[in-house]
Amino acid sequence: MLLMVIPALVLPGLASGPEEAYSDQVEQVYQAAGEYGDDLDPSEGLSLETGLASLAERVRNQMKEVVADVAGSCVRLLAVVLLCGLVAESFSPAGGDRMGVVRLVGVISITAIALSDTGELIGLGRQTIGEMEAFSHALLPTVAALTAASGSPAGAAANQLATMLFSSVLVTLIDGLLLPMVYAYVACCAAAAATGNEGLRRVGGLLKWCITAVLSAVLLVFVGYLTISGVIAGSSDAVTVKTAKLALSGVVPVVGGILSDAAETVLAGAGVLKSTVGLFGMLVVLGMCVAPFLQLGLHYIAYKCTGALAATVADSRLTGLIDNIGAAFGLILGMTGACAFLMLISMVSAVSLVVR
Amino acid sequence: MWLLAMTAAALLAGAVEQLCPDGPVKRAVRLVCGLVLLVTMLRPAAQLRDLAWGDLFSMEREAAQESVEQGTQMGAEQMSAIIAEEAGAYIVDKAAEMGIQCAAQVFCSETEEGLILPQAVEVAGEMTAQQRQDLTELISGELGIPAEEQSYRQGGEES
Repeated sequence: MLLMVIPALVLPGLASGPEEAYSDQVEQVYQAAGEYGDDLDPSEGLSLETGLASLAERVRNQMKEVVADVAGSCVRLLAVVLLCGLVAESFSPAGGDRMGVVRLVGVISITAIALSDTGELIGLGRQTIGEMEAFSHALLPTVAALTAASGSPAGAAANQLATMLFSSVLVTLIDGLLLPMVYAYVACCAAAAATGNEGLRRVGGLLKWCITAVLSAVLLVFVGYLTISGVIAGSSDAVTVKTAKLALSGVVPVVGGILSDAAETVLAGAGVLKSTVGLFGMLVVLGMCVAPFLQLGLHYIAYKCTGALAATVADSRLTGLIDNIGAAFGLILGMTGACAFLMLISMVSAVSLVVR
Repeated sequence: MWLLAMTAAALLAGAVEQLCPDGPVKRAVRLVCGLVLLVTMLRPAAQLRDLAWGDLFSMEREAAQESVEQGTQMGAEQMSAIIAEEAGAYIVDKAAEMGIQCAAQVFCSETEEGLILPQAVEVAGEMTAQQRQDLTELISGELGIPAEEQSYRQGGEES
């Protein structure tokens, strides 16, 4: 344990490489990446540029399909609001009582159209979060093991604990609280649009605020905890290194030299492998986010634009409903993004841990 | 299903409210509908209370500790192998300088201070008694392996 943190200062390169020592664990990470790791080959020198190019290619491939899907929903929504506008126009000014019925039909139609998108996109967001969580169970222990082997055992433990803990908390909150709150938010918006009830509209606004606040709070606490625990763990690792140096100074010179060589080889090898696995993990997480980010982001923009366009010809409650449902997509995007952010920050933190 | 049920409930509440005539009945219906919606919305929050948050922390801490121990152990094994290999090569080189052709297998173990050090060696090769004496002293002095932990094999016989 103590010797693992010796920052030896000489000779690299001996036969037994870190790839062999950690091959089982690293292989598990590559396996867990599934299809998202297909375009990334760590054995052929993985770089951020090639990884991002692969992601851009993935975005390009999916863009056309997503745009067609989004356009279909927008056309249907615009058709509903235009139709409601026409019918309402034919009733006014004499048919004031029938306006409520027209509006109710409009709300039901918009909600029905949005429901298929909402259900599908919430499912996609939840699936992505699940995939990230499953991948993190393979990635984080491996990165922690490599970080420990590269000379920062306390930092590795702190990093994995923080990430796994906050990841579990976030996923539990998303499953148990935030997603139901999104459903409730959509329901409140629909009911408020149908009835014009100010209370429901405010409850919807409160739910949206709560979701944003919970996500922001979890991420802020995570970053704060990671920073503080990282500083404490860094000090602990530094003390261990000094103790190891002291112990090493009492060893026979020839053995001391051999120990330094071995420590240098192990630390450097594990460090390089940690960076490769960390970068691979980050690119896989980003790859997992491509489809949901495209779907949710484009739906969000499209619903907002449709709401704005429809506002020129239709009832403000109907257009407001479209706008609010678009905001629900933004909330799901935020949840998926929060999970990805957590993993990415953890990887950056682990990769940047250096023995001093 | 949950989304459908929630939306249906909200829409139903809205429709009932719409159909009610203005007056005290409408206000009562609005209150009941609001309460039903509120209870439905807060139900998931109540379920979170049942989760064992303390257990989650200790479980994740144990998992992190396990990962670190595994990494440390793998690093130590790798290091032990490198030290054994380097120390063995050092003995063979020094023996060659003394005119001895031999092979050396070094065994390492962790000390109380946490250092992985060569603890024993097996040398196989032909050598005179004087050469063996010199080699034993060299290994003791430079690698810190005591004479009693050094074994020599000549012509298939251990001594």
